[in-house]
Amino acid sequence: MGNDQGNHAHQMSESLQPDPAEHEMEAVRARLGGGSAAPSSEQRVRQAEKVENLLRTSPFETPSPGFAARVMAAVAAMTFPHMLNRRLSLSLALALALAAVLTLPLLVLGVTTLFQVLSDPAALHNFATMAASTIGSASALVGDYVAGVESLVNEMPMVPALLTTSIPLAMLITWTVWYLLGGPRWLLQRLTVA
Amino acid sequence: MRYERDVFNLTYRMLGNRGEAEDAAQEAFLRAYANLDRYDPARSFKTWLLSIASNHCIDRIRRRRLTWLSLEEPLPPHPALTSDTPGPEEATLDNERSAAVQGLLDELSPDYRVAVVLRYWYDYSYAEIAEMLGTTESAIKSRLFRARQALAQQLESRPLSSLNPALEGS
Repeated sequence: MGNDQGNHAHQMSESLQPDPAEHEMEAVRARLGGGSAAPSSEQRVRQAEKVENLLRTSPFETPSPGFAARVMAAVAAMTFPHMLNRRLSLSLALALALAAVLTLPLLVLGVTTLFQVLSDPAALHNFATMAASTIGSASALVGDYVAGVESLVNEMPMVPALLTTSIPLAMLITWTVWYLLGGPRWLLQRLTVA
Repeated sequence: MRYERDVFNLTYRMLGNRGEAEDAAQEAFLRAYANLDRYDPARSFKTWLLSIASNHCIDRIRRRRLTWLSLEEPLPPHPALTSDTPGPEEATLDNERSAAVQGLLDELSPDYRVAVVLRYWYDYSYAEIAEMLGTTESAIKSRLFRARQALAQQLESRPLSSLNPALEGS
């Protein structure tokens, strides 16, 4: 009895729905494989040719007037310090990463050595002697150097004066030559129409 | 500037908006400048520059997808309306066709789109495109095949009157 009622409701529902539209029927036929909407291989080849032709004949787009000048200004604004900053920040990041990796083993090594030295009186004595002799040698070396410089200044005052002038000057000239001939101008030359 | 048109056309075809394309093209030039030490003189400078621009555009499109669109923000104008080259009927037709082609390209995924642009506008070989995008030649062949299929389907589904002159030539 219940089944009869269900069939009746289903028939009523179907009779109230309109017939499928023609394009829906086409789609169904195409899906089933034998319909007229299924593109043949010839149609596919023609479509592919259309696409190829369309793409090949599409024009090149050009930027708005003044674009080149804006780009050149932006490139020129990327000055040497800016480049240097980029590289320095990269180097700094790498150095910090390296320091982070090395810190723990170095710390362990340092603490172990310190513990060994402090726990052994003989080693402590050796360490103190070595430190004292190192400091003594270093101070003697510095003293010799200062004395040598003093004697040079007293005997030939022109030499240190020339050195203090010529070294920064040479550095400045080297940097200027590098800056004028080196990387920052290279791209500008490549980008500019010859 | 020697490569401005090449780089701009690529960024425009990838991004579909003139303003954004100019930004992307400028960024490509700046990146090239900042990374000059990585340039291998044995390779073509143009290829290297276009490779930078391609990858930058793909990044931009991916980032764009992650950005929520504000409803208050006006939609970008149709490319045909923003062209700076007023002129005769032929130029107008060119603009319309270009915009229509752009509409088709916009439906492709960025990976497919860049392969299509480098192949059909710049005549690069499969091997060159693969090298530029850091992938294999077979991957490029596959992308181009699928892209052509997708474009053909779109062409079938939407009649574009402005494309007729180009299609009649086939």
